[in-house]
This record gives sequence, structure tokens and C-alpha cells, in this order.
Amino acid sequence: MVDDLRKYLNHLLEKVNGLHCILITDRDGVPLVRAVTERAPQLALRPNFISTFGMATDQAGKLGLGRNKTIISMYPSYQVIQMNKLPLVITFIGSDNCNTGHILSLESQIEPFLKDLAAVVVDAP
Amino acid sequence: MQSDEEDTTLHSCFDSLKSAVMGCCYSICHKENDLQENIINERTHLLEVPEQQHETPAPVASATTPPRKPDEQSALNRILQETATNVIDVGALGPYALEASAYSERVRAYTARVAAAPPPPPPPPPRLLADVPHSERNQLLSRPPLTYEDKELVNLIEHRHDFLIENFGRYF
Repeated sequence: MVDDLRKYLNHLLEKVNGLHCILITDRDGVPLVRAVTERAPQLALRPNFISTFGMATDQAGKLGLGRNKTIISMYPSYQVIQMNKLPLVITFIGSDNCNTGHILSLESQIEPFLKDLAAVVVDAP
Repeated sequence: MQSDEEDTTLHSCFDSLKSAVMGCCYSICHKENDLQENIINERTHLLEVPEQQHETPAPVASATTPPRKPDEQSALNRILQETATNVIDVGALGPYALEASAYSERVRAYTARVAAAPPPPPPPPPRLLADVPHSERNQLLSRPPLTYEDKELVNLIEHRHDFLIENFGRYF
């Protein structure tokens, strides 16, 4: 399953110009599947970077606007888009000029695979 | 002599009151001793305040207070818990990181479980306006543009088309 999924994520990576990596992790940043190019910043792939999203999305959900779904963070050279699919988190890292809407549109194409992956995380000890 | 003793007693009483009631105005504490209490001045309340409001609130868990009913206590606990959950306290979150051993153990568990999982469903069907890969897109965009004659032909056809539509009622 992993190889097929990784291949599919690599295919999605090629479709979006400037997208460096797609990570599917649990909320602590432990990776399940990842498709990474050499341009991806290594610091942003660390679990302690990714796991901050879990806390941030919890806090953002308390602002009275309902459950937080996505957080987009813009940096001078990169953009990080993280989606709340708890118990999973999808992280996209792209260049600063990458088309953000194009990245967001990948959600629907990854969604069908998440059910099985979520079961893996839930059943894990 | 007696007046000195009274003064010291009163002052010690005031000191203990002041320490017990934070923010309590000294003038209020001093009220009983005020000889000019009944004289209307700038400190006199416009509305009569009942004495009960000046009393310090009794502590919740004092020995004299009867124990609360269990349902009331549970309701209070629930409210407290809900409030604590709804508070946004980013400062208290702090950095969070898994231990290296726990991390590697979880990675191993996930790898084993994902490998044993059933194959993923087929990718969603292509859309009506399917996107093309980056390399193919570059190839398409790098092709030479339309020639001048082709553009003129398209413009001519469009012009005639507009003319026909505008004068459709006149000729037919």
C-alpha cells in the first residue's frame, strides 16, 4: 500500500509547480507516508515542527468559528499548508510563489486514501 | 493611657482587616471610628449601601459551611472543566516533542501496519478539465505561437459571425 500511495503522492507533487513535499503524519508528526523532493527544507520535516500544528489547530478551534480545518503559514522562501484530518495531519511544503489554491485542491485527491491510514493510527499502540 | 490602649487595639484590628480584605479602602475600615460619620461630605455615599456588601465573602471550603449538594458540585466542576477547555492559553502549551525511542517505535509500528493494509483505492477519475504535468505544460507552452495569417483568419471569421448575428432578423 505504501509504495502505491507514495507513487501517487509523487505524481501529485509533479502536478503542482513549486510544491516540495507532501507528508501524511499522525498528530505528533510521526510520518506514515511521505513524498519529498530534494528542495524541501529539512527543518520543516521534523516531527517537532509538524506537531505544533496539532496544538495550533486545537487552539484555533476555540475562536468561535467552528473546527479549524487548515492552517497556511507563509515564510520568506516557503509556504506550509497543514490540514486537520485528525488523527492524521497532511502537510504540504512549497515555495513561497507556489499556487496555494492549487495545493488546497489536492485535498480532495488525497481524501479517499485517508480512511485506511487513519485506521492504522487508531489501532496502533 | 486608656485612650492609647484603645488606639493600639483599633490599629491592630484595622491592620488585620486590611490584610484580610485586599483592595479594601481604609476609609471604609475606618468608618466605625469616624466621629464625623453623620456629617455629609465628599466621602458620603449618594446611595445608601447596605452593610452586607462590605463583608468579606466567606471562603468556599470553610469548616462552618455545610457541604454542597453533589449535583451542584458536579455542575460546578463541569462548568470549571468546560471553561478550562475553552480558554486559549498559548503560553502554557510549550514545546512538545516525542522521545526518540517512542518516535522510532511508532515509526516501526506504522510501517508494519501500513505494509499489511489493503491496497489503496484507485485514484479518483480524471476531471473534465484535467491538469497536465509540469513538464508537459512547459512543452505545450514553449511551442511556437499562431502565425499572423491564422490570427487574421480567426478575426475575420469572428467579425462575420458577429455581423450575421446582429443582422439575423433583417435577412431571415
